[in-house]
Amino acid sequence: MLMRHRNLRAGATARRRGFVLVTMAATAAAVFGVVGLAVDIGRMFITKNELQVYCDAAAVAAAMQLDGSTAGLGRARSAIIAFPNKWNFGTTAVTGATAAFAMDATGPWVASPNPASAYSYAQVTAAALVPLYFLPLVTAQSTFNVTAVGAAGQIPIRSLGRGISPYTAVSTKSGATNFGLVVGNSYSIHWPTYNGNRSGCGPSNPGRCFNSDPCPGDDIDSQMAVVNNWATKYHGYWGSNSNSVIAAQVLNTIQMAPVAMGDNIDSLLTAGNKQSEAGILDERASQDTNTDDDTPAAYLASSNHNGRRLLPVAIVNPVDPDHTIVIGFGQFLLQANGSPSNYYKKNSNGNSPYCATYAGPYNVGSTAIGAGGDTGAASVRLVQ
Amino acid sequence: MTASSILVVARWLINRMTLHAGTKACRGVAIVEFGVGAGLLLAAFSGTFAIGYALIRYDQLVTAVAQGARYASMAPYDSQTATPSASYSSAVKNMVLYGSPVQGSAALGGLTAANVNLVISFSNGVPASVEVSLTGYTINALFQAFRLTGKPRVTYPYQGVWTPA
Repeated sequence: MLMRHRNLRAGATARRRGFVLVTMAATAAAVFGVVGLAVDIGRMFITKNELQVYCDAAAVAAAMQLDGSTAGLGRARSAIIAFPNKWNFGTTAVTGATAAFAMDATGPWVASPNPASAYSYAQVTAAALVPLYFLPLVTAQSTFNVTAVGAAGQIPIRSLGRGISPYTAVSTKSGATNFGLVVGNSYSIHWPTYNGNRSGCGPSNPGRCFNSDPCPGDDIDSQMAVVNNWATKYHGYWGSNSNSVIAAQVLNTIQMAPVAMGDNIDSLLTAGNKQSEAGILDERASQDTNTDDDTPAAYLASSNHNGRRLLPVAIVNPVDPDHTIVIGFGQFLLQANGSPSNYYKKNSNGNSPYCATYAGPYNVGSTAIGAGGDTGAASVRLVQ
Repeated sequence: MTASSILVVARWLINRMTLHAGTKACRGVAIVEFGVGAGLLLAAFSGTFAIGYALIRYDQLVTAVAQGARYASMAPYDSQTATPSASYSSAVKNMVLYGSPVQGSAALGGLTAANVNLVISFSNGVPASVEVSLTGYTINALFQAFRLTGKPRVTYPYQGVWTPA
């Protein structure tokens, strides 16, 4: 009986032998699975976040370059490739990122739109192969492809509280492309002094109703609107008459008041201080590293421009003597005659206009122009 | 998966202790086996926790730094040089620490303004890009401390209004 019991015990022990090994192996697999989840999936999440940061920043950089031209698309692609944000705990450069463009935040996204006009959104897609260290013990996969997508676009702005200068350009064509302004034409941003007694002044030749002729780009409708509604009252300048504040307005684009499309800025229009304005406009132009090119095309194509000669301006329509309505915004190239520039001081007197060349839509913070839109002003924002 | 493994081990230990109750040698073996097994499991779970915690914290830092860099890229830059003004610098650092340009009450994970680096790069005499990074910050992950030097690092193109005067 005792022997039989011993044999039974021995048999049971033999059957249990190896059970610890099996249990430990199963537990080890489970533990490695958990470690794998913590380490490898944790790394995937970090990679995803790093790629997302890259895509967002690169999309902003790309959208800043869009100006409705094919060259702008090329600059956008270059900006994406050159963007320095890294992944893999900030140690590895992102390679192979792709770009697509759209006219709207919802797409459709096109890799190479032609023509490029109105394409004001950029989308960046980036991918990275994350090596797996623990998960290969329980899966057959040794890497995981992590992707991220970021998109940014030039979002039209209808109201600006900071950024536009205390000047205006006049247009009566609110619904027209670029408000009827022509890129490369010169417009009065500060009109000459009105003189209704000047020889030749009349409805058929309103440009003769000033002590000096307005700038060449101002069409007859704009001249009529100024003659009939501003006359001696205004010159297109708005803001402070103090020299120091004028300097802050022109050099720092500090606004005396927010300005929105549809606003009547009649109460903001003032005489200004023409003498000091000339020096301040020259100072702003002199802050640019390109004081040679006088056409927007040449200026924007040069690699050494820095955007300081581009002056953001409200475009207004003087509809009657008490209502000057903001119809949009634009970017105007200040004239320069070398470094330091004294163009406005040298070529202006009390009677003459201050002219600047229309360059295109205003894109806040850009050293170039924007892709356009119905307001003429935009700011790059993330949209995806 | 982990819970079922623990159940298997626990059941095995109970069986062993029940079957061999009264057998001194077996009782000793069970204690040793439990000690070894529990030690290994504890080490594995602790390591997992430490690494997981460090990864989560790093992920949070990437987000915070990116947030600061994005803010810096849009805020008016009021300096003529690459050295930012105190107010601009402070607002950017607060954005990293508190998620707001004004000082908050509790900074992310014990970060301080001294940990936040801000570099403004000029091109052709105007601000072109902003870079925000962390330096000297340590992630204390239970058994190991990870000291960050120059990372996370995030760059954005500058797109604010420059006010140099």
